[in-house]
Amino acid sequence: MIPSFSTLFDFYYFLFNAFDYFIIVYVAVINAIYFLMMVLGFFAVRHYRDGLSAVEMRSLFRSSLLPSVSILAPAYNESATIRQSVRAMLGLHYPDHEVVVINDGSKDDTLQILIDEFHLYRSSRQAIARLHSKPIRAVYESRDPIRLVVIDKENGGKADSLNAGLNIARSDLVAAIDADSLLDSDALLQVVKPFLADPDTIAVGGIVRVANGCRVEHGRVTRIALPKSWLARFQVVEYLRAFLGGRVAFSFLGSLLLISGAFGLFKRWAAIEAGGFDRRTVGEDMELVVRLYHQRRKKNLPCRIVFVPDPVCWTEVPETLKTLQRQRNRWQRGTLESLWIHREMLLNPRFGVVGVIGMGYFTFFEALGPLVELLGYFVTLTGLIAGLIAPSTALLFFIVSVASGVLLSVSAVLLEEFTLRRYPNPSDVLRLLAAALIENFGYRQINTIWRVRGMVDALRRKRGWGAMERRGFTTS
Amino acid sequence: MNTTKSRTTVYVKTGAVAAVYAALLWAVYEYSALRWPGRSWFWVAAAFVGVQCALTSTILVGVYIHRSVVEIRRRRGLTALYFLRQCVASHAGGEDMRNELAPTVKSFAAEFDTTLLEFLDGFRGTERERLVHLGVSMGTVDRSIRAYRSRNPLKRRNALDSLAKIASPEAQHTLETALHDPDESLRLTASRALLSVGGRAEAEKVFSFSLRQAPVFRALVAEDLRPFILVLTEKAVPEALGSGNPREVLAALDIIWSWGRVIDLPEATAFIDSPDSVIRAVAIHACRYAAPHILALKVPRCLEDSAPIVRRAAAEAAQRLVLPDALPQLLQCLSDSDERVARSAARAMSQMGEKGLQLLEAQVIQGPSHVAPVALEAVEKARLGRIEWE
Repeated sequence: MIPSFSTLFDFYYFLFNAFDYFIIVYVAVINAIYFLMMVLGFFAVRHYRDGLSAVEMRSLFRSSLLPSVSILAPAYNESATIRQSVRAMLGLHYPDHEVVVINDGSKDDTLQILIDEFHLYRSSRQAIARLHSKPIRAVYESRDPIRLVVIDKENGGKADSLNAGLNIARSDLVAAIDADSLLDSDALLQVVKPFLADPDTIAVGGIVRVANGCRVEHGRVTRIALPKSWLARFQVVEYLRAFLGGRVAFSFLGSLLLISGAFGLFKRWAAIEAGGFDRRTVGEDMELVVRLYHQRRKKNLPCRIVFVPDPVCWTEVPETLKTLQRQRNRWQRGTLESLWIHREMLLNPRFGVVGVIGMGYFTFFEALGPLVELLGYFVTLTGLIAGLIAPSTALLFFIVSVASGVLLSVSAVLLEEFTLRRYPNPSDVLRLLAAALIENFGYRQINTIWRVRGMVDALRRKRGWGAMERRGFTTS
Repeated sequence: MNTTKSRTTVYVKTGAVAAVYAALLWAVYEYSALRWPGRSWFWVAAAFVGVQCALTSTILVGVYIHRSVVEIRRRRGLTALYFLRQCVASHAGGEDMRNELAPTVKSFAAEFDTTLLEFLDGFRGTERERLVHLGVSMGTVDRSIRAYRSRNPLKRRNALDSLAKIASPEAQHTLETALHDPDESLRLTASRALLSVGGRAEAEKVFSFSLRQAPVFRALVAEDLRPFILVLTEKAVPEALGSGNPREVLAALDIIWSWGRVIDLPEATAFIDSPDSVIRAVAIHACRYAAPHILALKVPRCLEDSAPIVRRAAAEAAQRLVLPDALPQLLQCLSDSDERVARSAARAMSQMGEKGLQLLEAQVIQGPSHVAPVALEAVEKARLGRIEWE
């Protein structure tokens, strides 16, 4: 039934309120889904019993049935940290792994540091795959008894570097990690287990945690602590929400669309068969996972991709608004690009749970969510000022968006407390809870704006990562 | 790996929590709307906020109460710990401390169990037997058996670990029952526990059991089966190889390969001619240890196998066993369509002494364009001595 409007004001009043109610319902639905994911994640983590005990890890370490692993670490201008990072990777507790550092046309002396530190010589090691990448200038190996390969190539970006690494790597599995990420020493043993448990496993993701504020010694996190800056603390909460809530839940549902670029393990042949990492997108980590599903489901091939909460990768998060903004802009662009490239999968039952739930969620909530939320703030505020929206409706919107956001953030912290408990200090938990509360008043809204800007940039086909400032880890 | 039942439990619990949450919201909304009619949307929001705050506060308070209780218990336990350790150490040394311990164990059973298990790790022989008897008489075994019946999988796993350490006959039955637990991680714990407490019969039982489990299970259990290799190769392994079940045969060959120890098992070489290429390949790997002298005769033929996985296994065997007689076939493999076979063949040739290296160097200079780089890499690594430790 179409309502009648006596004045133009009435029409606008109806329009604003109707739109605002739509947004309220949308935000309520999305937060309800997040909450369900959090609850599912909680029970799924408690049921997760596949983590290896210390005794089992010792046994597995001695087994010759363990697959070999190549760690691919793209590096661009990493002279400050490359020595420590590579030594840490070489020292990982795993019996059969090699480290492949891809020097992506660094302008500093990253390559020379590696040559000097590890006694590299120019080797004749050949590429065994033919994925597209920028020309390789040279491949180096070490005269020392360490399994280190350094690829020196022209600058082409992270995806391009990973493809070069895939071409040169020799192992059954490849781990794509950031050169400045720090893996726990047993991380590889933990993350390899799903491949042994189920041969249909194609890729596994581990949890990424915030290293800011932690003490790092010789490339290992030796003391876990919260960052001092509130910006980094907000990101700790975000990461908990994303990994312990979202990734665990989606992995449990069999529709995990995203393995973090900071730490993901793939079957090498599967990644090569799929065409490697897509150089056209800045979200190459997500795009490859979606493409694996897309291609393999089309051919009715098994494609099990899981997340395990045990193995930990520590990474430095931005502590300035500018750098954080670039990162969030890039993440949003990457998400949209990946979803657009594989739009055939969206809500398509042919692709099973991944197409219906995974793609559906990411498209309607992760991709469009920031836009709807921002519109909500705009419409509500302007409507309130212009008298087109009732104060109770405006209050309803702010409560649904902000209060439920607080619930989700606090739930993420409690999920961490109940399950993995990496922050044993009670005062750290209290600080995290405070961050969970405060982040919904300002930080989250700024993030929404950045993500919307990322959407606009994606539509304008903007490319590139932007410069990332790094401060380095706290060392003893 | 989660079982179907376990996954269903997760979904049911999630649904239950969501239903309770929705019911709470509805109840609060209904109550508010009845008491203060009108502004229904406002009361929806108020109900939402109220329920959230209440739930979050309850959980927070619960968490801190739980933490406080755990801490209080821990500190209380510390007061008895010194006494318990003294008594257990004295008992291990020959004094009978059961009467002194009994009253304390009544109040601090968990602390006693932990202390006893710590001491068991460090003792052997007579002292260990005395401690095991102490554990039985003080009820540690009974408590562990009861804990195994818990619905909490972590408690059950810890219970199995405790029973394994105590290694008493009373624990045997529970460990054998746990071998058929629906949870794979508990089956694994039970297997490993049985191996630590039992002898030949248990080793054979666990070996046969592991043939039907996932590769990760075998990878873990194979290491614990090492002390029983000679015993198993007398009966259990040959039985598995002769079972006619391809899955069990493959699993048995996997385990032999993972042991990496020379044993006398010539019957394993029959599988080098299996119709299944995966079995042929794994049999080649296993026969490097089970029957190297027979394998050496078969490697040249295997290098011409139709399956790349078999050719690669044969090339690796040629490298490990250093078989110069296989040089002609290895040379052919340098041109293999599967690059992994070509590389394995090149590596093998580089380990055949100067003759192999010279053949490779000839390929670098005169070989086809797709062969020369492979040969060059192998020569380079051999000359630098990298292949030995890679």
